[in-house]
Amino acid sequence: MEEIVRAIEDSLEHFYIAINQLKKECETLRMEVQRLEKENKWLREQMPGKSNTPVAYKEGQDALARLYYEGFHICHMQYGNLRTEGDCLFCISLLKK
Amino acid sequence: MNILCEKSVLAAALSLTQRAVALRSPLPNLKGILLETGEQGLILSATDLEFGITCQVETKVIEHGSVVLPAKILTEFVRKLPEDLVELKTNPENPLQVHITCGSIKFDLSGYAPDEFPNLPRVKEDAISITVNEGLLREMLTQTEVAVAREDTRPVLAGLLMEVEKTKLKFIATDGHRLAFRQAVIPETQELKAIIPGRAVQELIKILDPDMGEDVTVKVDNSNIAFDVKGVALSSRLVEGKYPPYQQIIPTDYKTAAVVDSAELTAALERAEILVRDGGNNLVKFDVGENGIRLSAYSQDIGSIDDFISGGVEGEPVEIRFNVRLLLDCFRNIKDSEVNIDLTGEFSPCMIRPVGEHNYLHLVLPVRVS
Repeated sequence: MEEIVRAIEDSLEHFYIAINQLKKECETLRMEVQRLEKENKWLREQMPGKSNTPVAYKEGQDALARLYYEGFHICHMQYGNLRTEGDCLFCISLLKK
Repeated sequence: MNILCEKSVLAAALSLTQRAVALRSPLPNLKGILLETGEQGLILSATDLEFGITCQVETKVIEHGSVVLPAKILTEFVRKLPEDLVELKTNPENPLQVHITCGSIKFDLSGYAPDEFPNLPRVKEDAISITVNEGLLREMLTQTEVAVAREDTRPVLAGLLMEVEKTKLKFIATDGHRLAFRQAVIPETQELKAIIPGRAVQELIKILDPDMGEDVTVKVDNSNIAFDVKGVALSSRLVEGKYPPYQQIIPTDYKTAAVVDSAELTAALERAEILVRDGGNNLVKFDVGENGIRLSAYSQDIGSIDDFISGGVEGEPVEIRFNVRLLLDCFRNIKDSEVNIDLTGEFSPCMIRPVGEHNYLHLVLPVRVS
C-alpha cells in the first residue's frame, strides 16, 4: 500500500514539474505574440497612407465617375473636355479599373 | 520634253497621281502634277506636302524634260480623248507651255516651272523596310481604317497605328467609340510604331489590288512612310504624337458570349439600317437570350423591325443597344462564316471577332439610353 502511495506521489511530482514547464512555455509564447503584435503595428505605421488607400482610391474613382457622368472626359487624352459624342472607350476603361 | 503615250495608260496614271494634289492650296504648283522623263519613261508626281504619289509609266521618250501641269484640267482633258497615241511636247520657245496632240485634236496648256515643285515626303536611306503581300495588306487596312477618327480634334486618332513586334505586323485604329485591331505574321524585322494619316491609308487602299499576290514594300523612318507597289510609290508624313495605350481597353473577360452566323447577322443589320437611318437614331437593340439574338429597331415616323438570329449563347441574358453603322462597318469586313460577340455589360464595349480567330477584333461601345 505504501509503495502504491509513493508511486502516486512520484507521478504527481512529475506531473507538477511538467505543468510548470508548460506554464513557462505559455508565458514565453504570450510574450512573443505581444512582441510580434507590437512589431506588426509599428510596421503598419511605417507605411503612411497604405492603410487609407482603399478609401482614398474609392473617393478618387467616385469623383472621376461623377465627372464622367456630368459629361466630361476623364481619359488622359482628353481629360476635362466635354464629351459631345457619347461614351468614350478610354474613359470607360478607366472607370472599370 | 517630248513623249508619246497611249491615252488609256496616261489617263490611268493621271487619275491615280491627281489623288495627292492639294485642291485648295494657294500655291499653284501644288495644284499641278509634275511630269518628268526618266530612263523607263514618264514619271508623274503630285503632293500636298503631307502626302505624295509618284507613278511611273512606260512611254516613248523623244526628248527628255519636265514640266508641271494643272492636274484637274489635264486629267479631265486626257480622260475625254479618244483611244489613240497622245503626244506631249513642250514649246521650245516657252518651256512652260505644252502642246498636247491626239489625232486631229490639239490642245495648248500652260504649266508651272518644275524646279519650284516641292519635294515629296521621302524616307531616309536607313529606314526600316518590311514586305507584305498586296492582298493581305489591303485586307488589313480595310478592316481597321473604318475606325480611324474622321475629325482632327485628336490628331493621333485621325491616323492608323502600325506596329511591328518581331514577326507580327499590327494595325490599330480607334475613334474613341470603337476600336479595330488586325494582325498578321511577317518575316522577323526591327520593331517599330508609326501613325499613318487616315487620308494616306484611304488612298493606299484604292491603289492596292485585293486579288493580287504581289509584294508591297513598306519603308518607315522617324517621320515618313513609303509604300512601293507596281510602279506606284505612295509616301506620307507620319502623325506626330503618342498613340493611347489601346491594350488597356480590350476586355479580358465577358459576361455573355454569343456565336452567330456572320452573314445572317449582317443581313439583319442592313435591313434594320434601312429603317433607322431615315429615322435618325441609328439604334438597334440586341436581346441576347438563350438561343440567339433578337434584333429590333424602331423609328417613330416609319415603323419597327424585329428579327431573330439563332446561335449559341453562354452567360447572362442581356439587352443592349448599338449604333447600327458602327456594327455594319465591322461586320462588312468579316469574311468568316461565324462570329463571336462577347459582352461585358450593357455599358461596356462589345468585342466582335471571327470564331477561333485571334488576328482580328473589333470593339464597339453600346449606346446608353437614358
